[in-house]
Amino acid sequence: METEKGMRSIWYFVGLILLAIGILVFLAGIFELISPTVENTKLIGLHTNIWWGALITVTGLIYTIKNKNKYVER
Amino acid sequence: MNSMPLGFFDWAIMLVYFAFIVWIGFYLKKFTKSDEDFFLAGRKNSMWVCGIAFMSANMGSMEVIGYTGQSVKYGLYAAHFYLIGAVPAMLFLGVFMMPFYYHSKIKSIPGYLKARFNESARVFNAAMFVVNMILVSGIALYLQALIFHTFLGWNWDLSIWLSAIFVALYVTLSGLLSAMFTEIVQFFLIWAGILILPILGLVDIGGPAEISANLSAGFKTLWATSGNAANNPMYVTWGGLILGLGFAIAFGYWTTDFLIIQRAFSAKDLRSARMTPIIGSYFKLLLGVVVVGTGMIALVLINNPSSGFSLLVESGKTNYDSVLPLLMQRYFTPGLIGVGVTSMVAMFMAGMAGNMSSFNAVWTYDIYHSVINKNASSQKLLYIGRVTTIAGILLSVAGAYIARSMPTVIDYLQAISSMFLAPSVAVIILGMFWKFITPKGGYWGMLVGTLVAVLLFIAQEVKVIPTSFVIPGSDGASAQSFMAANFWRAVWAWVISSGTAIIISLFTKNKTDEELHGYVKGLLDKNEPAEEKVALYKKPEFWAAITLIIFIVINILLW
Repeated sequence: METEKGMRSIWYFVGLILLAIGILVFLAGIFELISPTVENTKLIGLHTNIWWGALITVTGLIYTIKNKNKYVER
Repeated sequence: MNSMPLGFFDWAIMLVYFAFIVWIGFYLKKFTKSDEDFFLAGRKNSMWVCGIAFMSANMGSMEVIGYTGQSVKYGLYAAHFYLIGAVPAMLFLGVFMMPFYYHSKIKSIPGYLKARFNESARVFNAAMFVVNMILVSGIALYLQALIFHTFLGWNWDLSIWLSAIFVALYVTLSGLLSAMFTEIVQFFLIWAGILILPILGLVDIGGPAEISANLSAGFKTLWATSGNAANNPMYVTWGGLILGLGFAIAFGYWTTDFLIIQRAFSAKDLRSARMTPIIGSYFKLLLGVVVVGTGMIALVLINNPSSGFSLLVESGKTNYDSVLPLLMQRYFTPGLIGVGVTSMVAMFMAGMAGNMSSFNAVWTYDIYHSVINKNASSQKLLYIGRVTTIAGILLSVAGAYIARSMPTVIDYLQAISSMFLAPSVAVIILGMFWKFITPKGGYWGMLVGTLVAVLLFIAQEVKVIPTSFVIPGSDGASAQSFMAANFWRAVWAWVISSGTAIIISLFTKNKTDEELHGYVKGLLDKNEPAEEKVALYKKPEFWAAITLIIFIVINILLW
């Protein structure tokens, strides 16, 4: 039971949300690369959503794995 | 302006965010059993949790969206809000003031005023805080609805009520614990949304050298043009910046505004509490680079007609607050738009959660428990805290409709803060470092200082006195500046509060040393355990000194 172990570390939740959002941004970038829908955005050739999404995903993954088994006593 | 083209992934990101925040609220509810859990998150948090929550409570939509706009209006002068207007006060709080706050085991700043002075000082300060919080929350709610309305094309009323219901739901569930948890999650989301903007902006304009090449001295220096108000875009002199912004306003906000200090009170020990604002100061400097940098990039784009970038103009008036969303429109592709909109929502949520959790703590402890029901049980206080959150949010909705009718919310927001915070900080700092100040001196100092500041503001608004009335040696240039008047009004409020407190203290009875133990410098409680001995690099003073050095170097480099 989680209440007996204590509360999950905040950093675990930070990892989860970054991971989920990072994957979505990265996937959006890949889809945009395959079938472009945007025309007016500046610097579109940089494919920012791919590398920024990847960066957020990796950050989220590190936080999630590092804090997966950490519980805080309340 | 067109609404942002939100695609499938953008909506998915927003949905994930909302679902996640509500889930955290429900997850934390089972760990919130007493009033102390609800209001102080159980006093078990680490310095990093407190430090990030402290900064996140400060990173509301007004701070990030508003000050990016201010950077377009005032150029590098807007950086003063992140430098002299933040760093010295944050360090002073961590190094000198926190031991008094933390050791006294108070649950709010008005609680400290009761212990140091008397019940009247506590209730007056709590009432001013509650009024201030409702006005500030109303403006925040209005700005959020403006974002939904303008960028997503949602109905205005629907936007405001949806935002209000969402905040009510998760703050009511588990109070400060939930607010701090989501603040930390939101802190990372805000950075994910805004950190990329200056990077893309610099690529777009061709590098940092372009900023320097395209702007006049008044817009790209911190102090060089502050000798004469006519030479800088803020129309303010160095005296107004140092005394008004750096001293009266900054110390008022950073050292006595319970909204942010409440996060430090939830720390597990004194060292963590002292490190809270010091950790915050590093993020504040970084935020300044991102916010002011983004604003100055926008300024370069605006000055270059071929860039095709311009601000929103409504009824002939430039809307500076539109800068951040417009830059997101310019650079963000699918997925990133979702992160951008989510980060703006997160800024609002972080600010509102802070407003509401401090509002319910002050109302419950300093007004309800102190005046209305002195014998309330812990369970009753917990219940009142939850009900207060709902009531506070309903009042904020009313405040949002008032804010909607105001022409420039940011200017008025600063005026409100200068009236309600400067008199309090003058009295708190005097009382904390000088045992001579009596309970009646403290109470009357706050009361008279606030009254004079409010009267000066009203007289200025109804044109009984000119804006230049409060500005010493005012010339034609500084008389135009609403901002300079805010800075100087705060200075006068400080001087009058301090003067009144000292004069009244000469003639009234003081508390004994025993009664003041733990609340005044030199009278710390002898039974209180000393701060643990740690290596130099773990000491708050060490990290405060490093921030101070960075602060000085930045001021010299950008002089």
